[in-house]
Amino acid sequence: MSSNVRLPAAQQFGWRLGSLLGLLLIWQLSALWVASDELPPPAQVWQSLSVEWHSGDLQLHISATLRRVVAAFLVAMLLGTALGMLMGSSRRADALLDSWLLIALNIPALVVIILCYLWLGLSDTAAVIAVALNKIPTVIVTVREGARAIDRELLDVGRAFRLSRSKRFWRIYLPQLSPYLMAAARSGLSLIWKIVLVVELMGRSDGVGFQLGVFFQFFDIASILAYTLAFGAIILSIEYLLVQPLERRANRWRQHG
Amino acid sequence: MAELQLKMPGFCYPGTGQDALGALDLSFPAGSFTAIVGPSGTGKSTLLHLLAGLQPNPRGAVDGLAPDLKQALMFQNPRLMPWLSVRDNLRLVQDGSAEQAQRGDALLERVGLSERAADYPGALSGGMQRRVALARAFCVHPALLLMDEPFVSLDEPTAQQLRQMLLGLCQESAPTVVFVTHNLNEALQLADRVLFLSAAPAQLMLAHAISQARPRDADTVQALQRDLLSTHPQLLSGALSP
Repeated sequence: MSSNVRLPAAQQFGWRLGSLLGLLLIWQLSALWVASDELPPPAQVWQSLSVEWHSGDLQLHISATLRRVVAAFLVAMLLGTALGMLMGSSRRADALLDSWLLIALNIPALVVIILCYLWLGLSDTAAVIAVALNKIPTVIVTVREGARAIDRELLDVGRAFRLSRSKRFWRIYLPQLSPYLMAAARSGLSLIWKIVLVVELMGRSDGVGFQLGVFFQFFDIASILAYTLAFGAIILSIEYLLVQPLERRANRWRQHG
Repeated sequence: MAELQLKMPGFCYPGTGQDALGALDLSFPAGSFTAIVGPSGTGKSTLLHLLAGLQPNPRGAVDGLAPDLKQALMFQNPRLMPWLSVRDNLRLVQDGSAEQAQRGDALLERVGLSERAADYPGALSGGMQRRVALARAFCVHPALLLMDEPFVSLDEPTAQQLRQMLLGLCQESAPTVVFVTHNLNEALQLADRVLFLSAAPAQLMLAHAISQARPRDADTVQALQRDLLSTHPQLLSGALSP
């Protein structure tokens, strides 16, 4: 079977479920084999999860983290898209900003986080800005590529029929950019939640990252895994339930072409 | 209907320093069908883009381009939005009124594509895509219709079918049409006036009015061509040179 033929939905679901169960099995067997607190079995992690849930801590910290992820994601996507469109459509802007972009891409996340906390104080604003700043350059790179690939001839159709500026932007420009926006959003989400945890570990008093720091000090590996799993599950649900359906919708026309 | 006037001492693309079009003073009466014929590379498309307002010209002016003028342009390739269905491609250029939506559906019916209205352009043949582009051009009820070799590179029967459709549609809504082509027969078949341009920088060689009623059959077009070339043999080395 060639690799670009899609499996039927039920079969695909079956394979995915099977692979997850397989992972669980490997984990269980490894835990039995190691037989130490350093690798708690799934049941023990599940128990920690349940304890954290009933105390309300899990919900509190996860909602704090989720709030920061969403805020940083929106800021990064908005600014990154605007700058990417500017650099992709204007040679001058590209020449002016390209070396800054290169520097920004190569600054370690940690440096940005520390500087933000030092300059802006240990606040939520600083945390969100630090995360967004880490993500903006990669959004710019992706969106710039998209803006360069815009088909001017299609934009001319809008002008020839005297469509309004906003209609040309929303109905002819953005649909051409959307695959790139989708790509930026997908990679954005996974990068952002990883950085948010670091930011929380270093300078916040709530959130999953903060909580992981606490468990680290108590050597509570079961709880560390519990939080990781819980938050990972949320990010995966966003990916499967929101991002992928949106992407499929936007790409529907390609299958029928 | 729209009357259009173009007057300019010339036009050159910014940064080239060389005139693509020479001095031109052209008028397009309301409801007229003007074909523009000239050798390839003479700037016929540029002229059309100037008329459409797609290309600004600091050295000349187009009168008659009122801001609310309903304008449509049919390009050399159909330029349909691949991510929109056939019907939505029409809706895109319309104003959202029920009247225009109805008109769009009627036009799709007219060009024989109402059953493909929900399909994406990628699923249509080249000839079908041109038909959609033709329907799109008329679905805004244009007062000014600019056409840039719209039937080029189609097989002759398909092109002929589209020309008949175009004539029928023009008879009903009588837009001012400017039709660029390098095909003399096509010009003589469709237009009530043919403007012949010289090689670049283009200048007007001849404005030739045609009074015969349309549609014109092949024999009429042949006769028109013979008459034209016997009275204006200079066209063969000018506007009609390849």
